[in-house]
Amino acid sequence: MRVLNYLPRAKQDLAWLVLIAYLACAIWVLLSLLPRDFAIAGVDRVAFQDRPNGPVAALVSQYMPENSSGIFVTNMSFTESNDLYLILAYRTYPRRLYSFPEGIQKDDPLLQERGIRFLVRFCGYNSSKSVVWPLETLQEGMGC
Amino acid sequence: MLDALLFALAVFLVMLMGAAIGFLVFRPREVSVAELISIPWAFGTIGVAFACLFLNLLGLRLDGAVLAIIILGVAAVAAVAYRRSPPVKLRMPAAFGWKELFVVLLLIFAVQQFMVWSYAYPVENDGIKSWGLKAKILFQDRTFLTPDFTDPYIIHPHKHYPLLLPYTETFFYMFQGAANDEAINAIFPLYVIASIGLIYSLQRYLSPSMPRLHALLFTLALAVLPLLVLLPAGYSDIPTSLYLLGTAGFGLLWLAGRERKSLLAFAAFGCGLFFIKSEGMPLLFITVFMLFAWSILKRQAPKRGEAALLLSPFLLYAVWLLASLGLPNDDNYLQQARPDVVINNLGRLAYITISGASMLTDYELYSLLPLLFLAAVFANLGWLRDTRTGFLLSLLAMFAILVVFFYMITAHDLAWQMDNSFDRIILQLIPVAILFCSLQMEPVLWSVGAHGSEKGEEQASSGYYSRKKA
Repeated sequence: MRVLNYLPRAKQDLAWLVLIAYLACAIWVLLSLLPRDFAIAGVDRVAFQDRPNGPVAALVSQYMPENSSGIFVTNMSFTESNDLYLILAYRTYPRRLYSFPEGIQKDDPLLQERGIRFLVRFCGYNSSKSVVWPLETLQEGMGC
Repeated sequence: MLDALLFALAVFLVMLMGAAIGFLVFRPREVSVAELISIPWAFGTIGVAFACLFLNLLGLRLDGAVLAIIILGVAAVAAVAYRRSPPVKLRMPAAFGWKELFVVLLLIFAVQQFMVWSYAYPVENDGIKSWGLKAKILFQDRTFLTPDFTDPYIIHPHKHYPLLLPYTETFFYMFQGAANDEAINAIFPLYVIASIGLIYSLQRYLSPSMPRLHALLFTLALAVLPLLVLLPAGYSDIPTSLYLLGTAGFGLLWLAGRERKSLLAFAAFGCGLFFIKSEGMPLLFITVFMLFAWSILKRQAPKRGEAALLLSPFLLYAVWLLASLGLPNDDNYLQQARPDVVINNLGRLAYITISGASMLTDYELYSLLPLLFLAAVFANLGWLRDTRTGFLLSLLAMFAILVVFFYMITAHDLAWQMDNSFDRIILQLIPVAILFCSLQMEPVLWSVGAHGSEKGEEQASSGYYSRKKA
């Protein structure tokens, strides 16, 4: 009988244990996310440390605008896939690099041009300052 | 500095719109701090987005000044109503004990972590191509009725997606004078802060006797969820989770208390839900269906006016559906939702179940959330009799079935699709799940042996709003 009497109490203790374990685990993960290696000021360094000779980083660096202090290659850009990756480096956001994995369709030259114009127009903070890969590079990248 | 001031002005206008709508919906006599940080942003973003939509549908281009005038107009209507009502008081919280203060400090830490990450982490895939791109088009062309949306030969993925987030971003761009897609990341912490305020408020509405420490602890449970922080900026899943929480929470409040203002708030959140993401519509449909079902189960079928309010978000959805008919649709989920597809893909069930369960055990994303949820379900079987927890649990079960159905019919590679979307879809449901856990565990954590079902339900039905009337 005493054991039965203790059951609600045990249930309560167990419930507290689960709640505290959940919170402790989540807070521990959050603490581990403190951006030590991810300082905002050092984003460019991290990007190149990850993949110093990666094909994307190497190619993009050729087309980076002047006065750019670095680029940040997102995870999407690290893929080794041969699919088209249209990449825009922003002079205004020198630490940012955006990629478009869905890019431009391969079999329509007109569409390529329209797509490029479209992306130039809308993907840059300021269209005139955006840098887009030359069409030849795009076509090469697409295997055209 | 000017940029920051203009950004702050845009935030103020959104909050003014939301506060005005909130006042007209609730007519409160007292407002808590949690309500102040949640309702204005949630309602404001919905109000601004629909104002933009209707301007476009009227053939007008978006204009910051026109939108400001609309917002001031709504605020003026609320001000007139306010003059006829007793003054609203700000309900200051009673002094915190050290435990509560510690939890509040942890909440601030969690929000700060989110703010740092939402700025430091780059905008990714969906944040750029699904939402950010639309905002830039809207900023440049000031309407979605433009070839960049309607011409299928222009590269622009998912042209038919709902526009709440792009419209909100465009609103900020218009005030800043440029499509600054780095600064726009600053709006996402506001969604998190609103979610925190809303889940805290809903806990207190649904269980007025709930200890404040309990509500704070489960609010913290949402705020410290690592997945929330790790989601890349620019995605619409956090706003979706906010609107879903509001839809389900206020729907449940109506179910428990039959207050008209709960139903109005439900309708407002429901409009936000379908206009934020494509999956918002089925989530809304399920919620409305369950509200009807539970009302009938409780032998209190909705009256004609109540049913009309429950169904009112679908009216606005019909407007959006008609408006978006001309937009190319590159998703095939509706076409795929056929019995033969489901039957052919029955073999996927095992993979979906095992893979989904495995993903949920990733403590670096979910902490021990599955354990907390299971503990809540089995620690207190009061949900069998309690409308509040019974409704939430059955709603979550229906949402889970929807998720499984989505993966059953997807034409994409299943593994790829789950890798890319599972965490984000689950994130949308998590606030509702945590609300359920809180209500379930309250009697277990705070009073040994108490069930609290009928008692709690009774309190909820004569809860927050009635208390304020007294």
